[in-house]
Amino acid sequence: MEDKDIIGLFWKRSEDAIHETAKKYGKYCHLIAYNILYNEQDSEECVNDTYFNAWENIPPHNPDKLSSYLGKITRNLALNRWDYYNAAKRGNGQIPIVLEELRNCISSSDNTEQIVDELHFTNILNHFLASLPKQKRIIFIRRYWYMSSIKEICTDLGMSEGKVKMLLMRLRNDFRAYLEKEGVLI
Amino acid sequence: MNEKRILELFNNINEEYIEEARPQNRKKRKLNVYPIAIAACLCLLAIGGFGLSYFMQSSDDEKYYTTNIEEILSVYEGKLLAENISYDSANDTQILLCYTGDDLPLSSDRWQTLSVSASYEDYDMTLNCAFNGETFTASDEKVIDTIQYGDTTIQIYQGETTPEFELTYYAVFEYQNVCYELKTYSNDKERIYEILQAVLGVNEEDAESSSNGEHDFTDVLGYSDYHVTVDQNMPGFIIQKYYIETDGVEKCIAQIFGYAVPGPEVYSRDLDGDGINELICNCIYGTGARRVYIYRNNDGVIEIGRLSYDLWDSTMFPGITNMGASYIEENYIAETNTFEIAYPTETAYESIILEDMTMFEFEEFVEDF
Repeated sequence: MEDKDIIGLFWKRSEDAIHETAKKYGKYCHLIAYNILYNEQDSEECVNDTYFNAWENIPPHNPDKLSSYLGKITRNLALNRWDYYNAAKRGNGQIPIVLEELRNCISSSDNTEQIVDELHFTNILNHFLASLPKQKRIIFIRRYWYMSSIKEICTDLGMSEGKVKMLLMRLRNDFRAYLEKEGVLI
Repeated sequence: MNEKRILELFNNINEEYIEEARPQNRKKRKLNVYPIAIAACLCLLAIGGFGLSYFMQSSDDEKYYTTNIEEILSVYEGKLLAENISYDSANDTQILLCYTGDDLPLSSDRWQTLSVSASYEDYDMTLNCAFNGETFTASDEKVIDTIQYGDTTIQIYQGETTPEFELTYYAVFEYQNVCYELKTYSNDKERIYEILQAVLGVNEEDAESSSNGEHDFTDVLGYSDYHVTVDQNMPGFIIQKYYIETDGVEKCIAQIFGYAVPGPEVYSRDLDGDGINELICNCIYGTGARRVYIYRNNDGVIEIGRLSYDLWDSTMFPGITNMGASYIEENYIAETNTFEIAYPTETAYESIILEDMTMFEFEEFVEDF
């Protein structure tokens, strides 16, 4: 079913909306949640919460891209749940590793640098992504939005592990340089 | 704001990028593998699965096929471009010769097509060769580049996507009365150029300008009267040397080396403030290992400096997982006048930045190639 038809079901308050959403995007949302939570049951709960969230918000929302709209909801829910797990010392997955990579990307030697403006940061991030060649952008987003493992990225893009790791390192360095140039890091 | 918050802010990125990077189900294509003894200088192979589809059916003679590498090489050894490809790091390889007549010909005049293919860690390649008037025709795919090798014009095409690879690149050209079709299945466009360099080599005109970095120095190591030579000790791999003449004798004072594509890099900077520029060279070995060398003029003695470090030093290389030469990359970054040592950890590549050349150890330079 086309996205516009699924969104139409939401607007009509038809129960088929959830069924069709699950059929088309269930696996996609599950992948996002699982990469963060690394737990089947919790991932399923996140996905169900995503459907509930979509039902509550459409209407009035009328998303342009249903996949990324749902994906963002799932990702947020999963990150929040991961926060809870982290406090309780549970969980696994890619988050600790990804956080370590980003920590090294943005931290300075004396830990005094801060990102002062979140809205500005988001704009800069989108500009940075726009400046990248397609493949590098895909790798960057697979790692830091989808939280895909290095191995998954290698397999999906047909590249060696060493090459993906090297590209990510250089992209993080470029990102940091971009933030400094734009005055986001002080 | 911490890294966790940054991860949350990533949620606000452009939705098109999220969609663009959406994971798909991809499986790396597996080539059919026939057990074959590969000769040391080997080149050929082909994939029976799709190689046959490229063979032109131009005659009514019945066609025969063989994968006997020894017999094939005995007829054509040393004369085929495919022999210039090294398959040391290939995961699997294949070869298929199509010929007319009911016995393997001792001469090549009954050869029709020969296909060579190899599967590497992050890409696949196939080189199809057509003989005795057989040709390949390029389809309507987009031409993205045209390069010249001597009298041979080579057009590079971007081919159709496959379920396994997002991008394919190929080239069709004729060289010494054999028609070639080279295909790379890779998301890295540079692969096809690398293989073309390997099979065709680089002619002197291209080689002189193929090193990157800076050129036409007013002086090299304080010598304004210098000259440069460029050689290949194997196809596609160049060595560039700087010479001066002292007391009527030619003396090499620096050398850089690497694959012609992307090319070794050389820069001239006064790193130690003594008024004489050092020559800083980003070199690439045949294995792909990258090393930085600094040449300096130390009171008339030409010295070469190499980085000296202990990979076992966990404070310098925390989390290092592989100390193999090919995994450690050294680079001089001209924009920042710094040196970078990149090394692999379990989850990523990390790097150390050196602000000066204090970690370089120098000794008198002796030409060794």
